[in-house]
Parts: sequence; C-alpha cells; structure tokens
Amino acid sequence: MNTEQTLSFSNAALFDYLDRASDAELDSLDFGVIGMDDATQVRRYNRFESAAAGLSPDRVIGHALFTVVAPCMNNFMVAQRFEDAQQDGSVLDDTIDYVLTLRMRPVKVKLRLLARPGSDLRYVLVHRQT
Amino acid sequence: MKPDSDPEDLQPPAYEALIQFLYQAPIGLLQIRPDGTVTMMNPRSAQLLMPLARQGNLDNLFEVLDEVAPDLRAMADAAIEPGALVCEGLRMPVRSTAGGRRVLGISLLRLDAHTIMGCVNDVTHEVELEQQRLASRMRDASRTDSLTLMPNRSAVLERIQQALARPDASGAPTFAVLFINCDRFNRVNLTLGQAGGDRLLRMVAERLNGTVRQRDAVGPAREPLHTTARLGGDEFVVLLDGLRGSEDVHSIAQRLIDTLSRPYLIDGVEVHISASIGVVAGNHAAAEANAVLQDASLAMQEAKRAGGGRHVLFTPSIKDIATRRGALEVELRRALEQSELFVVYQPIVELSDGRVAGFEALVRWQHPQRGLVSPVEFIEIAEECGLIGAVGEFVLDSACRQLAAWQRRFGAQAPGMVSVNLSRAQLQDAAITDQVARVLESSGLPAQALQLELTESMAAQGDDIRARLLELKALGLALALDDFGTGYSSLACLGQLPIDTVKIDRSFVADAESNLHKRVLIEATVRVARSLGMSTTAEGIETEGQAALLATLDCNKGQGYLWSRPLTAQAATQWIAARMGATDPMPAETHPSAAAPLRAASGFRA
Repeated sequence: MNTEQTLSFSNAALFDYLDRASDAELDSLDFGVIGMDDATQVRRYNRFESAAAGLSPDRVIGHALFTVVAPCMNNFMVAQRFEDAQQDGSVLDDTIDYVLTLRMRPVKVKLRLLARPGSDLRYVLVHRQT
Repeated sequence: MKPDSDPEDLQPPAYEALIQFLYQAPIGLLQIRPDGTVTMMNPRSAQLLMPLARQGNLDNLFEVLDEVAPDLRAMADAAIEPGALVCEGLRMPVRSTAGGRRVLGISLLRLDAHTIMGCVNDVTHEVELEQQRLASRMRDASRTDSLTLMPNRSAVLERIQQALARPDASGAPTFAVLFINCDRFNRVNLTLGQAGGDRLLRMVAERLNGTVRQRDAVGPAREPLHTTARLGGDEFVVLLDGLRGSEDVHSIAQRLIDTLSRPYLIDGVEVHISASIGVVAGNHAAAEANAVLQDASLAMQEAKRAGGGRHVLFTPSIKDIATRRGALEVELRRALEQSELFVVYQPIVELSDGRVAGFEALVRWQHPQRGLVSPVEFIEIAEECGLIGAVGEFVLDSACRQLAAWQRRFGAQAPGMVSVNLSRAQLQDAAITDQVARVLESSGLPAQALQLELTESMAAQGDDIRARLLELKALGLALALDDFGTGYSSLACLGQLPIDTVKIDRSFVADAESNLHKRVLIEATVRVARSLGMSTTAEGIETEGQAALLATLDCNKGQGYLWSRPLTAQAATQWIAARMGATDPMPAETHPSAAAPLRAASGFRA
C-alpha cells in the first residue's frame, strides 16, 4: 500500500505521519501544510502551499505565522484555537470552512488545525476546494 | 496545480511592502465588480464578513450581505457615476460566532464601470457609545421641564428621595423642601395670554435659580445639592440641601418671596405677582419623596389661605386639618346630593312697633354622624372646592320659595323680605347676577322682597365687585352690609358702597347698655346711615333693654334671641302664625313648600 497516495486531508492518523514525514513526503501531498513551533514560527511549508499562496518557503519559514505570513488567520477562528489548546494542554483537531485572503484574493478553503501536547510542531492544513 | 497568484519573486519589493500594508491594515478593505464578485479583499475584511458567509465563501459581497443589507445591489446599480458613493457607513447587525452581537459598518465607492471599492469596519463600540449618549439625552429630556429647562417633578422627587436616604451624622435636619406657588398667576395668564404667562414663568424660574444657587451654597464638607424644579403650571419646588440650621430655611424662603414679588416687565407691562411657600424641614419630612411634596403643598395652601405672599412651615397639625377638610369636602358633596343641608330662618323685627319685617335665611348641615356642622366650618371648604355655587343657590332658592309661600299663605300680613348671605366666592363669580335673577323668576318672589348680605371686606374689593353689586341692585333687590364695625371700613366709606341696609354687629349691641363708647358708635352709625338713605338693623338683641335702647337710638330693625333663635321653616311658619294671632293656623305639613325645608331640600327645587 502506497502511504503517500492514500493519505488524505481528513485522515485520522495524519498528525503522526506529518511528524515523521520528510520534506519530500510533505511536498508530495495534494493540500497545503504549514508547520509551526510553540512560538508560532513557521518551521515547515510544503510545495503545494507555496505554489497556491504564491509565497516561496524562504519568505515564510522562520517568520511568525499569524502576524507576518498569514494575518488573515490571526483571529478567534484559527489563532485563538491554537492558543487555547496550548494553554489547556489539550488536543486540537478541528476542520473549519474558511476564506483565505492571501494576496488579497478570497479563496474558500477547509482548514484543519492540529495540535497536541508534547509534539514539537503544530499544523495548519489547507484544502482548497475548487 | 495552479497558484492563487503570480510567484512573489516576480514582483518588485515595493509591491510586497504594499501587500503587507494591506494585510496588516486594521480596517477591512475590498474591491468588487458591479455584480458583487469580490476581486480583492484583505484579511480584516474576510475576518469581519466571515460570520455572514452562509456557504463559507466570500465570492460575492451582495450574496454575503443579502440578509443584512438586501438593498445594497440596487444601491450599487444606482451609483453609476465614477466617484459616486454607493453607501457610507451603512450599518449591519452581525451575530458573531464567538457569541454576542456586533455591528459592521460598510462604505462602498464606485471607481469606474467595472470596479467598486469598499471598506468594512467593526462599529459595535461606536454604536454602543451612541446608544448610551442617546439614552442619556432621553433620560435628560424626560427629567427636564421643557418650558424652563429646570429639573421636572420626577427629577426633583429623585433628589428628595436621595436626601431622605442619606444618613445624617449630626442628627440635625440638613435639607428642606420649599413648595412655591405664584399668587394670582391665573389673573396674569388671563391678562397676558398664554405666551405672556409662559414668559413670566421663565422669569420666575430664572429668579429662583439666581436666588438659590448664588447665595446658599453652604455645607463645607459636601457639595451643595440645591435643586430648583418646576412641577407644572405655576408650581415650583426648591430643594435646599446642606443647610446650616433651621434659621436658613426661613431667611431663604423670605428672600425667595421678596425676589419673586419684584415687578416683572412683560411686553412693556409691569406685572406684579407674589408667592406662597410651603416648607417641609428635614426633621418633619415623611419617608417618601411624594409624601414630602404633598406635605409641602399643604403648607403652601395654608400660606395662601393666610393671604399669600408668605411662607408656612409644615407641621403634623397642618396635615390633620387638611385631612379633616378633605373628609368634609367629600361629605359636603354627599350632603348636597342627599339633602343634608337645610335652611333656618331668624326673624327680623321692626323696633318701632314689633312688626315682623322679614327673616334672615341661614344654612345648616345636619351631618348623619357629626350632628350639626357649623357654616363657619363648611362654607370655607365649599368655597375652596368649588361647591359654594351649589350651596349658595340652594340657600337662595330655598329662601325665596319659602318667603313666596308665606306671602301666599299670610297675604298682606306675611313678612316683607328675606335676607340671604352671599359668600365671597359667590360675589366673585360673574354668573351670580344671572343666578339670582333665575331664582327670583322661578320662585315668583318679587325682587324687592329679597335682600342679599355681604361683609365689609367683600364689599370693599375694587371696581369689578362694585360693578357686580350694582348689577345685583339693578334687579331691584336690596343689599345689606353684614357685621358692620368688625372690619376695616369706616363710616366714611359707607357712602361709597351701593348699600341699602347696615347691619350693626352683635359685639356693639351686647354691651351697648353699659358701654357708652359702644352706644356712641351705634348712634353715629345710625345717623350716618340715615343721612345716606340707608336703614339699620341691630344683630344679637337678647334683652328688652337692648331692644328699647336701640329703638331710642333710632335703629330701624333688630334680630336676636329676644324674639327668636333661627327656626326651621315649619317652626317659623308657626311662629309667624302665632305672632299674627291667627286663630286657625293651617298645619305647616299640609303646605308643601313650608314643610319641605326641614329635611328635603329637593322639595324646594322646581
């Protein structure tokens, strides 16, 4: 069974896979992956997201996700959920309908927000619906 | 996979900076096509509009806002000219997903045929502030008197309640409520019209404000909380708070009266009013603000009753009297309906030959519980509550019908006249002449047989009263001056009054035999009256000696216990019959008009 082909945006075991996956493996996914650390600095940024958003990994990695890279996520729907999970030490795995405005264009997406205690990275997964 | 836009490395750095600027702007910016399709939108816009996006997308602004701003598409269609505003600060309620209600403001501007530019704002806070300001203005309006811009009744009641609620460390009363009513304001209103009356009220308000605020800011440890307010009409209230002692209240009340009594210049006319003030001091204050105002109002009415232009301090006894008055008023209305009032008659006798000249008619009230109530007590109440017209007409009607009945019965030997007392309020009523004429006509009594009695103080009240007296006399009736010698008018004034008879007060008659001074005064009165063509009647004659003395002093007539106490109509009928020596007096009961007055006043009425 080819793991890379069967892993979907909604796969329940996605977190484990992402934590282990190489950059090449992330780049092979057909949805955007943004990984950030405890301080919300972007650490991983896959090829799909880079192409879709029109941002090179160099412009993104090492920068704060919610204030510099994607201020359109800096609100109670996205950023606040991560903050709450971090504070409570709880698992976060929510999928929400969302509109991204990267480069000023409204794009309807599904966001999957992943975080769990003890994990180095937290993830925002972006599934573009059209 | 197709990128959302061109790779950023193809863009000049300035473009990137601009994008960052738009990303970070704390205001929602967007651009749409005329059909509503969103072509550009910054994160703040998306964040604000997302709660409205039912399908989760923000592709078309008009669809997103369809529920909260359904007219927006039509407005956009209407704004065709470049630079035209589609809307500015249009407000839209939004139920936020985090709970609570937000309000968004949106402005759209037509750039050209293909583009509309917009900005979106969260104006929730702004709207809340506006609502607070509006509520506060509304509150102010509902607490302000629109004519004088003073606090109104509800505002002053609130402040009185606050003064009542404040714990008082020293135990001394530190506040007082002054209830102010302008004396004779109605007359001013009639003369100047309502506009003039309103101007006068505004001037009164200014004087009150000037007097209270500038001079009496006392109470070092506390902000003075004096309040001047208008309750309505010509009624004002001053709440003096933070007073030093009870002395202050009296001096302030007097100062207010002095200030309000200074002439007012309105439309070039000098207007004079005065003021009556009822004062409730803190130590006599009721527990509730409304009750305090009522008490102050009672004290004000006392001040008016005492002649106006003065202040009266409320005491519990004022309330007791008012309560009794109130009860009497209710009962007096009932008395009129249920015929508890009746008329008694006291003979008036010719002193020269003892012939019956006539009767004085006097009203009595047989109260079912209190027994006989004195006219002294209830006539004043009847005047105050407007019942005097009904009471007066009842007495007049009863008396005229009774005399007419006697004249029918006794013919030439019947008493020649009946004398009826007029009250002050009756005389002030312009309709009195018509009323008397009506009664004379319905009773069939000739006007010459009616005499109306008034007191000196009533008669000496200016040109309009004098004119009214002349009107009454023109009917053909006679006027008598009652209680002469007890008032202020002198013998010299007698000639100025249209009077036919002077009634010498009982206080002169009582000791006329022993007191030379009194006897001389009676003699002088008789002479002056006679020289003016007036007759004289002595009241309160109790002894043969007094009757003989008054006769030698040339007094014409007398009345008193010597001849008879006031009698019921039935008893008076018998008294006349006996006096005439009638051998076969018809029983009074068989004569409807004679029998009626004892209990059934309605029997007298047509």
